[in-house]
Amino acid sequence: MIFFFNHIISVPCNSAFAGFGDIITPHIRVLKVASLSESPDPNHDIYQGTIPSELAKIAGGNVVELTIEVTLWDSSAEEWGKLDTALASSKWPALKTFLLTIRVLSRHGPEIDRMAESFEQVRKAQFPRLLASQSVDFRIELRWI
Amino acid sequence: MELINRAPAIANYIRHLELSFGKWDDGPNDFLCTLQRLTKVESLTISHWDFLDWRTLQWPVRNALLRLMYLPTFTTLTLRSVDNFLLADLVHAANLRCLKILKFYSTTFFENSTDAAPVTPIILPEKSVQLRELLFDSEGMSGIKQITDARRFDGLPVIDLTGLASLSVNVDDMDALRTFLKQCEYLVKLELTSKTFPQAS
Repeated sequence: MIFFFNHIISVPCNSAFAGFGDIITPHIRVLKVASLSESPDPNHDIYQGTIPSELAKIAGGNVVELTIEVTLWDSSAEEWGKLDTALASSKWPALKTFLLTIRVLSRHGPEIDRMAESFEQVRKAQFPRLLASQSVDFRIELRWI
Repeated sequence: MELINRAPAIANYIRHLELSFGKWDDGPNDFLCTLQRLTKVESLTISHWDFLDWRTLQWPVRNALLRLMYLPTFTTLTLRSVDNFLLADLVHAANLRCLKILKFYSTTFFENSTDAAPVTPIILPEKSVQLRELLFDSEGMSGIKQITDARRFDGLPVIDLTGLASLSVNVDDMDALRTFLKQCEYLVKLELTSKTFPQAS
């Protein structure tokens, strides 16, 4: 298990997008661009991976471009691997671009430096498939808000 | 505006227009005369420094804006900080394809939209407005529910969403989104944001 700087970041779940996959399923034949963006809510800080499981429901479609923005501050980083697994190229044959933006609450300079270092370790350890993919342009970005 | 008044021929070349209303909400008369000269506008952005209540606009101003929306060239309408817009006002925007609603805060946006009679003309167009792109940047679901429900006097929807290709909306009600998307048969692009955390059914 890799901890992302004192349990600060994890994949969100129990999120506003629970049920998203079922709603989108009738449209996956034509849907090409999908974007999900969550804003922070201090009342909901427990996440367990809803977005990967919802994405799994619409795998096999024609989505070419996928963008996910999450704002997080809690738990370990091990759940990111679920996202990497859910977006494996064999399950998303048409996917060309995946942009993941992780927004974290503002911190002081030294903490940001340590977090960025930790983040790089998480990126390599948790996204082996996407980083190695020849067909998907995978970009991951860390932002401070 | 002054430039157009000096060289009226320019008016025929203006395709994109942004109108930012200030404290002089109703505008000076020469402003309305200038709007009357425009004949080929494709996109219109109406914004306000604070808040513009569409239904309190004076009729000459509202009619001038509606005339632009009813031009055959008109395809894109952006409303920024405009509240109480009337969906019925779009019935005659025959070629409207893109509707963007930005920075509105009232949950009464669109409410009773079909109660008030459209201004002009009286004869309804043959088809509903065939929208292709719809964007709401905040509290979106209440707004798109109103769009779904709005009907013309002949029973047809004000806006036909069958061909909607792009939807960008803040999701505060997953069930409402589900209902809305059932109408859309050719959805190519979907952008969802969440500023609240509802429970899915």
